[in-house]
Amino acid sequence: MTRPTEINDDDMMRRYLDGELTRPERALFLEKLIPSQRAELSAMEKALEALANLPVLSPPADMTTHIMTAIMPEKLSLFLRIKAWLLRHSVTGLEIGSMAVAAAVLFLLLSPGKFLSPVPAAPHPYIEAQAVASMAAGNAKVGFSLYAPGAKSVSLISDFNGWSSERSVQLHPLGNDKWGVTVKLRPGSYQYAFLINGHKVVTDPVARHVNDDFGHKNAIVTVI
Amino acid sequence: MSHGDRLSDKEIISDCLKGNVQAYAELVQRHQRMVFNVLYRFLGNYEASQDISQETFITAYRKLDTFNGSSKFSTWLCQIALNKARDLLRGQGVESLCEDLEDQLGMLAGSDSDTPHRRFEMTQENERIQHVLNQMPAHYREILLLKHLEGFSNEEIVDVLKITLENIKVRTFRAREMFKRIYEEMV
Repeated sequence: MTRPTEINDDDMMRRYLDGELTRPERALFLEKLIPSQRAELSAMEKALEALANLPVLSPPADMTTHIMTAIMPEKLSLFLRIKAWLLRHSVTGLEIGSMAVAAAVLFLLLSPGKFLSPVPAAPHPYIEAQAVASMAAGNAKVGFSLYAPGAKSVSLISDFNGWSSERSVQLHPLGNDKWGVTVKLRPGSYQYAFLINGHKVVTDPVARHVNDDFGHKNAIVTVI
Repeated sequence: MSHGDRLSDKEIISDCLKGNVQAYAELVQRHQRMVFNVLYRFLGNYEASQDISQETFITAYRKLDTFNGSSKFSTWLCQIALNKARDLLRGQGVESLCEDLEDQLGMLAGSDSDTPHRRFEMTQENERIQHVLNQMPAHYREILLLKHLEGFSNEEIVDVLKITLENIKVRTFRAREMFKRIYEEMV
């Protein structure tokens, strides 16, 4: 049988507040308190509760981008470099900055090839770009688009739909062999790929990549 | 393809050390809230907390190969963050960087149009708590934040602060006493 430890003022108070006392020790500690000590303890608990209940602040939305830019400045995708630049120079915050990113990426998509010169040549005729368009209520609208000449259908398979072709998100034809769709995503990182004509998996050649468990590379989009 | 299971911090670190730089973004996203909040409450200054949070993750990445897997990545990050924050305070010869709280609130309110979660209502009670923290010596403030804001155990605090368990206990006791005294004076 565990014998309650003798009351030892300061250490018992610390152990009580740290939740280190056994139930008998706790009961004994409280029982031995005189009214003034009980009031002291109550005041302490109230103050510490107020500290523990301080609101949790969200870090700046672009923190991940800044950190990743700093640790891999040469390998960062064109998109993230443009986004980081626009965020640093935005006037009224991320929303405008992000829309500018979207516009910039779309501009690059629709522009002559010289604007895409920093992007490595794709081994297939598909060229893709992504954009975080806006963010509200914790969801970001992320636009995915693909240039896919001759495709009859294009869909998006990803973490967020379980990599299922049945639950894939269909891209819509935009004309001139371009396909696009916008999806709402919560903050996080999502791996994705495109499915052409229901069977051909295409990795986005210009996005950041991560290795999957099967030796392939997946594109990854990060919503912050 | 990988989906479903969440990788542990140590698995992601292993990926990073194998050259998968992008994997580090996941670690940043997992821990940036904790690092930023500890720094903000410790320094009492939004911009400095932002800068040091970023420096913390950059330093951690560059020293990732020295990370001792016997401790948690989160405690290691906290150790780096608080070391940097203490250096900053020491360099400026101050105990906190707190500006006028109304200015702080104005800055926060004016700069968070993009992140609704950053828009918080700092009640009078919250202001008072931050005032109390700002008046405490840094070595008491940090232990209170780790213990009562982040809920670290004594053993985790040993990992962060690199002082003995006995010192942690004594310092915790004194920090609480001081916190309560100043808090009551401000009521």
